[in-house]
Amino acid sequence: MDVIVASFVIYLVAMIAIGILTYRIGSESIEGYFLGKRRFGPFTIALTHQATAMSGYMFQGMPGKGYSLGFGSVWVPMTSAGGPLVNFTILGKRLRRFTEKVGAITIPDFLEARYYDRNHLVRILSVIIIFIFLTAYTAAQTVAMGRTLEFLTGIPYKWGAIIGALTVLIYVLLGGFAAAVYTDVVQAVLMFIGAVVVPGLAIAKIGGFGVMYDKLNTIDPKLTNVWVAPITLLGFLAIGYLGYLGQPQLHVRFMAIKNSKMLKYSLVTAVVWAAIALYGVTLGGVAARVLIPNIKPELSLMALTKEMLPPVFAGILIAAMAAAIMSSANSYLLVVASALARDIYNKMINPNADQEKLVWISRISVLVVSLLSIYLALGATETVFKLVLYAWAGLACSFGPVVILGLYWKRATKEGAIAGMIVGAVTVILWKQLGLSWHPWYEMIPGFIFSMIAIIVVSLLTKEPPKEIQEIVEYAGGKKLIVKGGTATPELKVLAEVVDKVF
Amino acid sequence: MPASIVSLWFGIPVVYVALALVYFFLSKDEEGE
Repeated sequence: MDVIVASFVIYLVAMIAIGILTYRIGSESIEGYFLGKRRFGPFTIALTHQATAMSGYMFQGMPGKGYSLGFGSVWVPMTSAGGPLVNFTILGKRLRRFTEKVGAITIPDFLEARYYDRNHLVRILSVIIIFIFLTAYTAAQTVAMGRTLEFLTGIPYKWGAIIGALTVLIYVLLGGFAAAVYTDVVQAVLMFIGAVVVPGLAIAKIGGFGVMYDKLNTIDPKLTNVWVAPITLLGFLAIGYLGYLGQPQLHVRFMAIKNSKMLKYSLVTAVVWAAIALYGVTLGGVAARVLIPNIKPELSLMALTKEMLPPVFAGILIAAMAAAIMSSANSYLLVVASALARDIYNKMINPNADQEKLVWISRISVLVVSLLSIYLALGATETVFKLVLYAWAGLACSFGPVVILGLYWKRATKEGAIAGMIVGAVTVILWKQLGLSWHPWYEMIPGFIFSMIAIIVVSLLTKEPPKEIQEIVEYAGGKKLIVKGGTATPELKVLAEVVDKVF
Repeated sequence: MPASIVSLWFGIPVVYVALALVYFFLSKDEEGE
């Protein structure tokens, strides 16, 4: 137990050290604080994307499915392993090119620029959705941290939650996005080691893949059945793939890379990481079924580590599990704080604020959101989990269609975007409330489809966007940017002036 | 052990990596950067 606690303490200290080292990057400007000055290389972006995408679910939910379904859990990591492939190829390059061209540093920034939203309706709507769902996500990660630490070290739940949340708060407060990204890199490496070493040792202990098959067959022949109904699989994949396309905390990763040409290197790195690590943790759950009978499935990988492996590996895994949770929490926290500091304060209350003031407003926003999430995690856990049930589909259906069509269809209008976001969010809530969902074709699929239809229909019924914006959409798709006979590189402000002349 | 189990558990990750490599080699660098 001492080795486990020591490993965890070393990990926490290392995370705070990264916060201190990135303090300068975060202090220069609001773009530095929330986007790290778009200075990151391809491998860094790949690892921060994966560390953010994979939350506590990676070390609890996935092995849990492995434990309860046996080899049939082969389909479980398929959605998350394919997520980066879908996200990087569909959104990565276009989002990076568009946002850099208009000086957008948040997703609401991007949406306001793309939809030429001068009265901030799209921005306000985005901020409300982000605030509700991502604050709930941040709080849920705090709860997960408390529970994980309680199981692994015996620390009382509340203290575990507070220690985890405060560590995240300290490094994010200091370095902002750069601290989140560099801690994510360390966390992604730890997660990868945990996902490969522990299951690998467990399978070796069993005697290999073949012996594991025979033993599972003896426990229950159903555990060796890998086939599922195609319709179930299709629904399952749609939920995963569509879900990835609507997560602002992942979108900002594409915006922060040095150059859009580097994204293809990020793609390969992220997919290799996901393919190995996610299949690794799931196989770990399968192995746990053979080695440790009668345990709660979600705890299978943790129990495997604690009971079957030397303490040093338990130390690695506890750090990896904490990493999976904290790397998601820091990204949610920053997106919500950026919605307050950039989207509300800087863009709507005080557009002329100097950079120093904006950085401090950003830090105060991080503090407020973090304290709110700790309060929710400790005092309103039930509310948090109710909101989280809607969050994955709610974010996907609110942001996915509006971001995709905004980048691919130049005819999409502001009115269409507003209609799409409302229809997406309302469909998710109503579908669930009315009990229309049935696993796995749950509310995300109708929400996504209806939102797309709403954007297309309303856009076609309203006036097309200004030519300059349509040209930036074409630029995002790979063309040179030509505005009024010259190559333009307008910041958002300049773009607004150009469009003002047109109308 | 049935070949289907081995091929699914190892084949799906390999297919994903292969698709990523296909995109890597076929994607063009855009103008204007």
